[in-house]
Amino acid sequence: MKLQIFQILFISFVIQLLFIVEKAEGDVRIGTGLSTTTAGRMIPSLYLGLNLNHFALSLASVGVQNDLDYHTGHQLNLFMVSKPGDLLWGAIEGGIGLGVHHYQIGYRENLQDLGLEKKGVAAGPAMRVFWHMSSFLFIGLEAMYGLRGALFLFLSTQDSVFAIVGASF
Amino acid sequence: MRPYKHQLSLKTIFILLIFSCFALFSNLNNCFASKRQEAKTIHFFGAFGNLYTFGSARVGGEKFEIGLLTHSFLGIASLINAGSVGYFSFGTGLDIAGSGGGIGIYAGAGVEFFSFWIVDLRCEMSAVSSWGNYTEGQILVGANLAF
Repeated sequence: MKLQIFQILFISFVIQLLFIVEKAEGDVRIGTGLSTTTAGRMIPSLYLGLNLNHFALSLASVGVQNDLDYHTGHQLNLFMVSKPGDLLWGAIEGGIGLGVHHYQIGYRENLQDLGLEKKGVAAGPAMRVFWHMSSFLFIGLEAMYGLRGALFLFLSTQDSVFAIVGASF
Repeated sequence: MRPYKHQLSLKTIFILLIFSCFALFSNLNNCFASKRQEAKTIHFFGAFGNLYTFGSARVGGEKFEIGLLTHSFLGIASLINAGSVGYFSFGTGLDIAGSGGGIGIYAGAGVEFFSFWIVDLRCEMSAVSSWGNYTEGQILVGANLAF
């Protein structure tokens, strides 16, 4: 009996929420492209994004591995986004925010060698500009400018750029 | 203590500070007023990039720019106002310094503020990527001359 009351209260609470809470406008993105992480080599990256009202979260990943070396990078960005205008027939979506990039590199001279490893994290301001070619296809760039001490005063940053072609649902 | 011959006295420094502050504050409305929203016939933009080396040289109108969008990317971009001082730009062009060259895309997000006469200070986060294995991001700081 007690459980039923709680169930009824819970259901009525959910129904009320549906009427009270503002409708969220969002989409999920998936894409692929190139990245500076691998020095611009033609290695496809994977891109996943989530847009919710005026905020966007994205995760990009790129990696390569062979017998002698490997290189992997992940980037997480959080943006405030807007669609301030159009370019030709498609809308431009711009975002300003913050990003974190993590990378790991391994290298060895020969197959018997244990090899060397290096990993690091960079964080800093980030930006995105996407051009929506159609209702679901987009192309654009997402960049994070990692700050390294006071070097940003000399306009020097550890940039990590992802060129993305993707679809939003 | 008597000040050195060429040394400014405290009183002189104080007066200079007062006048410069007054001049700055009286011009604040103009300094932070958006010139980006105003119609412009033509503008020139020159900027420093990494380690204050050459970053960009562009010429453009109210809604577009053409030229060296970054130090090694020649192209054309569309300018889209965002807010009172911000803008986004997106364009295409040719990588002229990458290993293999090739066409690519450019994107930028920036602000233009602190206007004095026809000169604005402009800061931009720019990024380019081309088919010729060239992908780069740079922070640009420069001056925008708008007529």
